[in-house]
Amino acid sequence: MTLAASHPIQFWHQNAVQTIHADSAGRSVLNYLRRDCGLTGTKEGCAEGDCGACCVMTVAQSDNGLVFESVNACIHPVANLQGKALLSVEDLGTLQAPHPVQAAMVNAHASQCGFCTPGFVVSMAACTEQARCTHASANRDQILDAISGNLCRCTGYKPIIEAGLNAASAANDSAGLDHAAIAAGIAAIGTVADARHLPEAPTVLMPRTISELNQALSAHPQATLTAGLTDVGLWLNKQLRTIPVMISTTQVAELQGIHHTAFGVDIGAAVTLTQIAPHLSAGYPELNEWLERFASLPIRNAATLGGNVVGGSPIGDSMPVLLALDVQLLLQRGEVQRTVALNDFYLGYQKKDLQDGEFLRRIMILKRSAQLKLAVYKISKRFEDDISAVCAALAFHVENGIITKARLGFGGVAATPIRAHGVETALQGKPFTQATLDAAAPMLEAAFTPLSDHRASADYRRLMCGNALRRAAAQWFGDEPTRVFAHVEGAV
Amino acid sequence: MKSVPVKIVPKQAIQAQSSQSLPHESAFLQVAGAAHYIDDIPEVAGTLHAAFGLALVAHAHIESLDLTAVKAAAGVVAVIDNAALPPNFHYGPVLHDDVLFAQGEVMHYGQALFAVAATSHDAARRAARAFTLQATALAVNITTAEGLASGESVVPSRQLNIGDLNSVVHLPSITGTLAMGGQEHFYLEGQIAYALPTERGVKVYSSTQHPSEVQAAIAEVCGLSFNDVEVETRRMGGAFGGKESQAMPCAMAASLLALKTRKPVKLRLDRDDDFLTTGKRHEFDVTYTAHYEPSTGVIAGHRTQHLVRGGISADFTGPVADRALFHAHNGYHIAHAQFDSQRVKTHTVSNTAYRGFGAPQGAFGMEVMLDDVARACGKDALDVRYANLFADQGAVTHYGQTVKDFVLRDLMQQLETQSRYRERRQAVAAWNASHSIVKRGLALTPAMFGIAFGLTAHNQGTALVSLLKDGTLTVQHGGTEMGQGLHTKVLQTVADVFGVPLASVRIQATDTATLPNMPATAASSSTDLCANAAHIAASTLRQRIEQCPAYDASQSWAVNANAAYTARVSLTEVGYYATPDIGYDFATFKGAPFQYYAYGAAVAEVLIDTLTGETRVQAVDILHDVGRSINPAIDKGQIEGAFVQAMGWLTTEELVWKMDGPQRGRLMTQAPQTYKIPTARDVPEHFSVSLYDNVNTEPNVHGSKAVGEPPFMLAFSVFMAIRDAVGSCGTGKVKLRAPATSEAVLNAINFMIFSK
Repeated sequence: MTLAASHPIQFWHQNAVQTIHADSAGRSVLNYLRRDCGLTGTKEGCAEGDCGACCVMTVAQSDNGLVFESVNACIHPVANLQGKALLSVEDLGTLQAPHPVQAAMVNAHASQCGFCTPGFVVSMAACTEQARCTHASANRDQILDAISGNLCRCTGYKPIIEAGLNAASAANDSAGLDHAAIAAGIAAIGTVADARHLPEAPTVLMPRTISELNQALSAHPQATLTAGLTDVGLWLNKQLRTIPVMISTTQVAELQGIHHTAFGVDIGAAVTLTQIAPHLSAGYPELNEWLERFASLPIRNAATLGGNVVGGSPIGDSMPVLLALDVQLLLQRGEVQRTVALNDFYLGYQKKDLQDGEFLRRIMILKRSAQLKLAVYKISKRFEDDISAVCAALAFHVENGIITKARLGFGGVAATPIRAHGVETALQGKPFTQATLDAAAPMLEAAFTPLSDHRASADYRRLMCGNALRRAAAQWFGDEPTRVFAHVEGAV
Repeated sequence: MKSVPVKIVPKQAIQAQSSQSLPHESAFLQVAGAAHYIDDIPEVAGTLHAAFGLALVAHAHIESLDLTAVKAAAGVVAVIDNAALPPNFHYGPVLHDDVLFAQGEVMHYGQALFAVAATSHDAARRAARAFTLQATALAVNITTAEGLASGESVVPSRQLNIGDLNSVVHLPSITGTLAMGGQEHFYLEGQIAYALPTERGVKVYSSTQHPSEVQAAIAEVCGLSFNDVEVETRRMGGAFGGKESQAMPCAMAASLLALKTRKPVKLRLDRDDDFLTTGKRHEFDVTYTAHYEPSTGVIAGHRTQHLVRGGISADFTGPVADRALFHAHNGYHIAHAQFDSQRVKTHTVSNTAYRGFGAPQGAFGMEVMLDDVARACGKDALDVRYANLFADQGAVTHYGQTVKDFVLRDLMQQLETQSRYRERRQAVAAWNASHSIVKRGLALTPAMFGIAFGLTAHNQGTALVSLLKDGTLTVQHGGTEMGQGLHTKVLQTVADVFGVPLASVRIQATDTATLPNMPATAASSSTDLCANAAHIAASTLRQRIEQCPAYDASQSWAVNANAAYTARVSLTEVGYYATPDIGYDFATFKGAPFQYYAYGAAVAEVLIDTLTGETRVQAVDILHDVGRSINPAIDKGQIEGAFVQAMGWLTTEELVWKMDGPQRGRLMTQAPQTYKIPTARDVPEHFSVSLYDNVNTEPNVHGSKAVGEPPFMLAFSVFMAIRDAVGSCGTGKVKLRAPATSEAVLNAINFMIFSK
């Protein structure tokens, strides 16, 4: 039986529409470029999306024009290029006519060994090309964010940042990518063509509707449901797991979109973190630092909030925040939908209230309450692109100076993302003062029994639960800076 | 692109390019994605891909290794284990005590057991996991303390007795310990070799800093003569010391498999396998007792022990531990000292060369000792550093070398002024007096680094310069390019001799087929060795052509090259350079191991969060001595890169081994997901790097000094600034280990607060 979901994959690459058969659309973009196309400018540095040497640019057409994004080709399946243009470093410029970012990199002496260089070039070019769409220049903060997923071991980054800024200020010049040609290329997608088969790759079914998704799920009950592949990509590359069939949620219409309703924000399960960020930030500006530190930009360009929630890792960064915000999940199996509070979703380590064949459809975040006081802290070895030792999300609803509701979500301290229910209850009805919060901090230190591992010791994690509350208290009630990072709230 | 033949410029009219910030010779290729690394070389048809099978236990007696399933796995063409090697085969850069595959015992988690070649990279990796190992677990030593207690060492310990420590033990003393972690090189291009069978042997493309040593290792393991093994290195995607000895296993296994299958074989380590199987910077545990003059902070003498984690074999542990001793006083005169350097054996990867080669570890111990003394004396650590510096003239090191150009005091004073150190010191103190959550710290630390290979024999370089008949030039030399700009500096040197633009000269890939006198590209010295040799070759060649009767200065080099050819005058010249006036006695540890010293200093200002231990480097000012720079942009790039790399070593880069359970000894931080090198956001916006106005007093090329390793030590300033900030939280001792992760900093703060 041919499933409706087994659509061939089509994308624009090297000035042509490329058509790939679903039976091998799980090929990584990196292997497609290097091994299938012989385009070796894009490098493999780690094969787990943590170094950025493999960054490539995808371009999508949206209601607001072209969207330029950098993604990690090593864990990005060809399937996820559906409907987009793919540009690797070779497509940006030539030795004779370099892209402004390439020229700026040379002029700033920003390459030494050169192995990370194509990734940096692509990441910064995605940033400057996006800015060019609106005749804007990327600023230092945007350049830094653009390269948050790119590691360089030689330069110390200073000349790379300088190159990015120089290229950004030259971005309104005529030099750069031909946006019209890219748009025309994307528009050409959809033409009928013979589909290529790629070697050594899983099948990816790309349902476009819930109905096709259900059909695919019943035909392949053992299939792995995927989205950005930022986690599953590591199963493939590092654990060498065999995944015969993947069902991608990325093209399912009903899993897309961010809707602002009377109740709040309703987010499709397959919406990427990058797409969500401005919507969350608008209602909850306290989340800005957390959004910036959630993995790296190329990962956020691929990864979905739904994937993070359903993955359910005890060290996932979204869940402590979503727990503190009393988020509801809309699940669906067949035609049956049900709503479950995120708080009730995690049953144990890697165990969720999710039946076979059931999938996450939407995530519902309530409109901000005027009474909310919110603080979110991520504690990790490195500021950017690291996994939390502890992630703490502290939400208090305060009326007339009294805590009417407390929601304290944590990651990294238990087998699942978890709330400190006991402390929440103890705080309810108490006056919202620094003394109240400081007094509750020891209770938080005793609330969980975390593990010691390579990220942090159990003692440190326990202490961080308490100190998160002490810090929030100092930030809300104190009069001195509470943070060391230059551009975050409460910083020196 | 075709180079344009150029007119001859008279020597006196040549506009020197050696002193200009010209781009890296591969920069345009690199930004375009057109620079070839080994995995980018178009594969020869039939190429196989290889992978190592890795032991998943740290220390065990091997009962049996069953490879049946490996051989039967999809796509497998050949498998080699110890049976494919010469009997009892050992190799190694200093002692021959390394094994390619575990022999009898597994000695560390991730040690290779065998290698497999298959039709694809993925097939090889899958097959490599299909083995069955029956083994009896043995005791696993991980820490230096465990290694020391076991009584096993990788090389003999060394004790030094300088002056007469007993003469100063009446002075007040302070004791301290400093645990410093190792460091993964994290070159962005992992280990790789591509071996092609030839008529009589193999040609191997190897990502290595030491092609001739890789050639020797291949020849020995394959039973070939050296002249049947050719090793070529065009460029590496980073190395930092990690591609000297560590390049050998991939090259050996790929060669064996290529000879066995008569097909090209590529062996590229997956990043996790690279972390698990390759050596790293040596961990040091330093313990010291310092005797000092309380009124000045002058350290009259000290007793110091270095516990050096060697891992399973010698590799470079001996010379690394020795270089730590050479640099254990950094730029300070300390008359009386006793050193005990223990090079312990542990069941962890065999630690190896890494930028600085022990010097950072040795000097770091000294700087922490000074910090403790300054704190005990209630003095600004900078004043105590000044009080202990070598005299400007006539200083002699603890190993007996006279320091001829001690500019460090002047350099530090310039930096102190430029960076407004005293003013900022007051601002930091005022801030700390009025703030309880975020504390500030400030430190200015110096670096003094001896230049030359510790093993005197390595201090030689060879270069071959040829003038081609279209007027272009080629250079081959014994150094390898890993991003440090060596090739660019050599090009500048040769281009200047001939008065031609850089584009008229090309560096050929480093190749064992051309030059036998090739030490490793290491010890920061390759520009000294290779650019000097190239300068000699180019000068001799130009002179010879000029002396040719048909020479016509009004004509182009192309015309003159053809004329010289017609006149049967050689168009090629070998230049050879051996560093003069060096040598020391290994047994007595006395002499002049170094040709000269490079100096530098850095000021770092940091913030620390006393609730979490999070840190942030706010500002960095560096003044560094590269003599007269051949290429200021490249030199600044080396300084900035070394600084940030060392900042990572001392802050976020933590190697964590599993300490319990059946996987005891497994490296848990085995990929960038868990091992965190600095990102762009960790580098302060205020990051000022200046070159100290100086000329090398030794007759080195263009008056320059080496730059690769010395600035690595400048990042001590970051750690000392963090220590300074921690110290502001109380009055007791600062007990901070490296790396100063958030948790380590918070522990140090809490120790300080609760030990009040």
